[in-house]
Amino acid sequence: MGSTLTHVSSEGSLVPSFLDVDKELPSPSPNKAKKHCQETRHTDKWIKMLKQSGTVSLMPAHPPGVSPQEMKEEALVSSWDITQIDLDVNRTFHSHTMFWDCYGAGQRALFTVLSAYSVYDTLSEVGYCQGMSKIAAILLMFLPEEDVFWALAQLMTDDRHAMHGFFIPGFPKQPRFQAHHKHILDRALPKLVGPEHLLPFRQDEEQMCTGIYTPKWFLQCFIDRTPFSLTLKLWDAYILDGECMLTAMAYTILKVHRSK
Amino acid sequence: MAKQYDVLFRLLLIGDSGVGKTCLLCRFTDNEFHSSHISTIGVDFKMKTIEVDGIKVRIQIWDTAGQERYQTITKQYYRRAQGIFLVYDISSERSYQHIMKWVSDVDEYAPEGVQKILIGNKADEEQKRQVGREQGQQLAKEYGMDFYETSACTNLNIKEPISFTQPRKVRTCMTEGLKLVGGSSEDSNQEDVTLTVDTGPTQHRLHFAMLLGN
Repeated sequence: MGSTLTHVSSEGSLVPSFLDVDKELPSPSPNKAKKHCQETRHTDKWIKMLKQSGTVSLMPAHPPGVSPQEMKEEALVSSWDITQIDLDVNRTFHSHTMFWDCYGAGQRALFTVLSAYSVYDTLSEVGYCQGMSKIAAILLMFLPEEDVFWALAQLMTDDRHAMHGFFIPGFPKQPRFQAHHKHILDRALPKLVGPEHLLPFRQDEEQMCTGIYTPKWFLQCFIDRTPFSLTLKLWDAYILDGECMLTAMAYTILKVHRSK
Repeated sequence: MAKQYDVLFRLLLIGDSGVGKTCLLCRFTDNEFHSSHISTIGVDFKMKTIEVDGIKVRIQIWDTAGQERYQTITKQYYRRAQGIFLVYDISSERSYQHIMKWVSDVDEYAPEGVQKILIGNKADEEQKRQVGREQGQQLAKEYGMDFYETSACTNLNIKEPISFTQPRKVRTCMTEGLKLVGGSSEDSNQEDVTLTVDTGPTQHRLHFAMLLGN
C-alpha cells in the first residue's frame, strides 16, 4: 500500500502539467478518497475470494459448453424466463446511476448475464428466479460482464455458497435455514421472540413471523434490507465465509435492534 | 398496551409479476406512487387502520411475489386471508388470461367462500389497453367476483375495492365472534360487540374457528 502511494506521488512530480489540473479540481476529502479506494478494491477481492471458494477457477479457460455470448443468443431463442428477466431488469437498483436508464448499458449487461445464466444452469433447474437480478446487479457494479456470469455460476454451485438451493423450484434451502434461524433464536434470544418466533413491532402489537422476513434476508444476502454501504460489507463477508454468515447476520440484526 | 383496533382483516393481493400489486398496496396504505418498484421476494405486508361505522378496522394487506416459482411460499398465506384481490394489467392480455389459473389456486388453497375481487390495474394506460372493460366485467361475473378498474398511478378507484370488502366482512366477523363467546347479536349493542372481538384470545379463536370451519 505504502509503495503504491510513493509511486503515485513520484509520477505526479514527473509530469508537472497535471499539477495545474489538480489545482483547478478540488481534491476529494480523505474520507471520500478512502471510500473510493475501498470500492475499487472490491473487484480484486471478490474475484480472489470466489476463486478460492470454488473447485474450478472463476473463468475456465475452456468453459463447459459454450461462451456467454453464445448462451445469450441461445437464451433469446429458447429461455422460458426471458419475459420475467425483462420485467425485473428495469426494477433492479433503479435508483443506482448504473441501472438508471431503461435499456441503458447497465441494464443491458444485467439482461445479458441473467438470460445467459438462465440457459446455462439447466442441470440444477435454477433458470431465472426473482431475486437473482439483485445479486447479478451488485456483482456488475464491481466486476466486468463476463466475470459476473462466472461469479454467479460460482455462487450458485460451489460448496461454500450453494445458492442454487435458494432459487430452484420449491426453495429447499430456505426452510432449512429458517429452521436453523429459529433454533438460534430459541437459544440466544428467547425473550424477544417467544415460543412462536414472532417478532414484535415497535409501535403496535402486530407481530411478524420468520417466514416473512427470512426469505428476503437469505435469498439475496441482505441486499435492499440494509443500507448500501453495510450491504457491501456483508457481501464481502458472504463471499469470503459463505452461507454460515447468513444466520449469523440475521441473529446480529435482531440482537442489535431488539431494544429499539 | 391497549389495542389500537377492534377488528383485524387480512387481505391478499395475487396476480402475475409486474401487474402492479406492490404499487396498489403503496398507494392504498401510504398514498404514494413510484413508477419503478422492486420485485417482491416471497411475501410482504403493510397495514392501515380505517374506521367503519365507529369501529376501528385494522387492514393487513399481504403482497405476494408474482413469479410462479414463489407459489410454494405464497400459497401458505392463502388460507389466512379473508379477502383476496386478483390483479391483472389491462395492458397485458397474458396477465388477464392467467386470472383463471389464479382463481383455481384460490379455490384450492383459500378458505371456502372467501370474498374475491377482480382488479384491472394500470387503467391510466388507455393507449396500451389490450383487455376491454367488458372482458373484465364478464370474467368477474363468471366467477362471482366484484370488479374494479384501478390505477395506482392516478389514484383511480384505490379506496373503493378495499372499502367494499369492509361492511360485509365486519358484520360477519362480529357475528362469528359472538357465536364463539356464546352471545347472540340480537341482545348485544354494538359496543359489546366491539369489546368481544377486541380481546386477544377471542381473536385467535376466531381465526381458528374460520380455519376449522372449512
